[in-house]
Amino acid sequence: MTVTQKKFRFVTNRVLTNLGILFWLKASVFFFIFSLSSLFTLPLYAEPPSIEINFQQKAGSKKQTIIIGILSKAPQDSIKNTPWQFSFDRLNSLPKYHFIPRFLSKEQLNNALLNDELDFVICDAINYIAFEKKYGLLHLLTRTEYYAESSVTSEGLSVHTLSNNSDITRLLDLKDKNIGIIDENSSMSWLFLEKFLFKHGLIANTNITTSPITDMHQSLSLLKNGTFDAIISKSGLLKKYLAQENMENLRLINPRHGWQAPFLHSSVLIPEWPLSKAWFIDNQLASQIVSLLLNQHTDNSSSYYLPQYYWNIAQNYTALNKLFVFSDAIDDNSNAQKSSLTQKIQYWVSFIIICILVAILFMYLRSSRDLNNRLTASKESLEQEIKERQHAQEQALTHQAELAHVARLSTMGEMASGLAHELNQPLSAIHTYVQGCIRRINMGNTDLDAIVNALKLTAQQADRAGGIIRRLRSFVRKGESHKTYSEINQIVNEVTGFLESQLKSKQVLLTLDLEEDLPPVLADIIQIEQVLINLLKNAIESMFDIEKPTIIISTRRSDQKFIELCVIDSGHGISEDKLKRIFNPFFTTKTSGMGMGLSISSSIVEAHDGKLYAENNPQQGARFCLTLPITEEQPGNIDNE
Amino acid sequence: MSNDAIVFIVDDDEAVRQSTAWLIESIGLKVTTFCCADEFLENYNNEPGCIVMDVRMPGMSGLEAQEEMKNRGMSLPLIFITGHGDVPMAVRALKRGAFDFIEKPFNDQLLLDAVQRGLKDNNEAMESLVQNESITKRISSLTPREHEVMMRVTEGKPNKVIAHELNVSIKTVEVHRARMMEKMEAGSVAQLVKTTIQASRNNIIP
Repeated sequence: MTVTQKKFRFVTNRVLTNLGILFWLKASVFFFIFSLSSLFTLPLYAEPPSIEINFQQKAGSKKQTIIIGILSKAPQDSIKNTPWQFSFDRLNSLPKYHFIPRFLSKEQLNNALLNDELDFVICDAINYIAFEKKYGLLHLLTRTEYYAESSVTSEGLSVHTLSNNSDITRLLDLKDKNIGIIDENSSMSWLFLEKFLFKHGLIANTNITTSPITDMHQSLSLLKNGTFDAIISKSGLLKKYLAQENMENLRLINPRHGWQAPFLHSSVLIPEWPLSKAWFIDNQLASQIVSLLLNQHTDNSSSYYLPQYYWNIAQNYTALNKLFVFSDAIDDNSNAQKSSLTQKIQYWVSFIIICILVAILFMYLRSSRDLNNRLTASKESLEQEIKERQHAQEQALTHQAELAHVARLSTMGEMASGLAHELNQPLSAIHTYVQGCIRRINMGNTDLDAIVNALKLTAQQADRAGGIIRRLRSFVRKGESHKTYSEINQIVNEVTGFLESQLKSKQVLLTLDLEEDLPPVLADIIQIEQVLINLLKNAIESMFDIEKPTIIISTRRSDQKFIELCVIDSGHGISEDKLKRIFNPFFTTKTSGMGMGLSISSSIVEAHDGKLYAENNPQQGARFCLTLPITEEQPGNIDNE
Repeated sequence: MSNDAIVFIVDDDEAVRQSTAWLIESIGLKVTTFCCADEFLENYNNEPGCIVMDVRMPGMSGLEAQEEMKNRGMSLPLIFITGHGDVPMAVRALKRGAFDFIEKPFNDQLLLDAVQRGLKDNNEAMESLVQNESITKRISSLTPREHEVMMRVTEGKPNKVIAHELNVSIKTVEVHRARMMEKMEAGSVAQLVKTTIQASRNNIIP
């Protein structure tokens, strides 16, 4: 495997690991956010209350019982002598139904609605708003009270302060003030006011101190001694109980004029109590009730002791609804302020946290997407680069092989005359042997043994010539690098045989100093032979003017891992500056020659994971050595082609 | 042709050496082979014959051996055979007295002819050498007066002129002449002239 491929694998692994880590990071962050948000939003998405079809169960009895829940401060057993009596009498005039009132506190009402125990509900507008959302109530009619011959479909709240108190002129001035609350429906009054103030940004928190006033008459003195800055009450309540002169000491904040109101002094007006039906009541019954109760006032009877409640067409609760848009439930009466505040805080905190989480998630997703994109892009470019590199490497290998081939051809060309002589020897011998035989036979000299012997020698020479040709062909053979397990000494012998004539003609004395039993090396025999021939040729040529030129070829095991092959000549050696450039392409000291021989040789040896280097001998001449790595394979695998 | 003549084959390539020997032996000549020039020079013992030698050999080359033989006064005909000869090499070899220059692979007849001619040449050279020695010996046996008489006889001068030139009597000239003819082993003046021409050609006499 090449270095690049290793790198590629490593990088890919890292990328994949990164991606994997990213995935788990993402997954865990998602899970975390999901669990957090569900923690906060679970109450919002709570399952709707389980549905029980009370209606049908009740249908079995002779007269169907219809339960009407009525919000009341104190539980009441009977409607006798209450303002509701007239209305229920009307309702019970229906033949098929039996209407039963249940007076419930707000909490009880909430529970009853939760269990679908109530068919109809009568409660104040503010609580209705909450229940409407929560339990799917639908308001049918609005309660009407008669005051002095006029009907009133709105409730009024009045906020009074001392007339000499100039601090409070508007409702908004109530901020940071102590406020007393009168009335059995004080919680409702307060709730509304709080919503109102909140809506106007007056309060983000409960910074209005309130406390209930039990005794109506006490209120004035409490105002006067400064315990309270203002008092909230139901409209007309104070007027009803306080003396006229005491009333003059008080001033109404933000006086409103309800056009139907019997009292001119209200700070705020809210719609009267609605009658609403539960989600499971069918419209037929609802419409029967509506028509019955709408006609109630026409049947004005004097038989009732107390002022009675009447019913009018449903008021518009939209404005009120808007005020309560953030409110989901109205909790326990006594804790109304705190709980609503806590709710608000909880709501906002959770909202902000969710917003932050969503923002973080979004940013994270974005950044991780960017990161992913970058990773993908860089991975792609990396892969592309690796492909190109591989391609380039393959090409380089091909080119190296081609170059080596060309160099071999060139070497072959330079050696042509030597090779011709090499081939000439056996051919001459063959020719001569054969002619000798012919002559003997012609002359009648039939010493057959001698002739047969001569012919045997002839055949040997033919083999010799064939060997030369074979070597020549394999040497100039083109092709892929073909590595086999090879004995280095065998390569040396082959090459010296090849160059014999060359050495002989230059009168070079060749000495072989070969270490025996060397381990095999994995090598392309032809290419290593090429390198050796190149080195030998250089050595021969460098000694053209030397007396008694000698070449020593030595092989030895340089260490545990390498075999070293050296060609040592007795020439002039190499000068220092040339020694540095000797393996550069196109560097040559000869008049003829491309300067590619050593460059190609070097690249061949490097392709074998070896090294080719040159140095000067201490005494005389130069030494070119190449190292080849020892292969661990057993020589049994040697493929000598 | 002497039967003692030997063809010396000097070539470093054993196959070429042995095959050449095989060929030359086929015409009934004696052959001795050497692997290199040094070996030949060491073992040569003035036998008559001729040399067939490769030009390119490790150690002493063919041309170097030729030089060495000239220095030693060896006159064996030298036939060069070479696998990669060129014109300058051939010219150089022939100028220095090589008998022939043959390229490998050689035509067998060409080589054999060259060898035959070489042997014949050597034989003649040997014979003339023997004659010269004899002539030298004969001439050196002459007295100065007999030498003077011989020179004048070969110039075709009659005894009377010779006597006059040497300022001796005719009788004296006749005696010197008779001894000279005897020493020179010449039966007639013509034979004497022939011998003296040969001697002067070989620088035995001026």
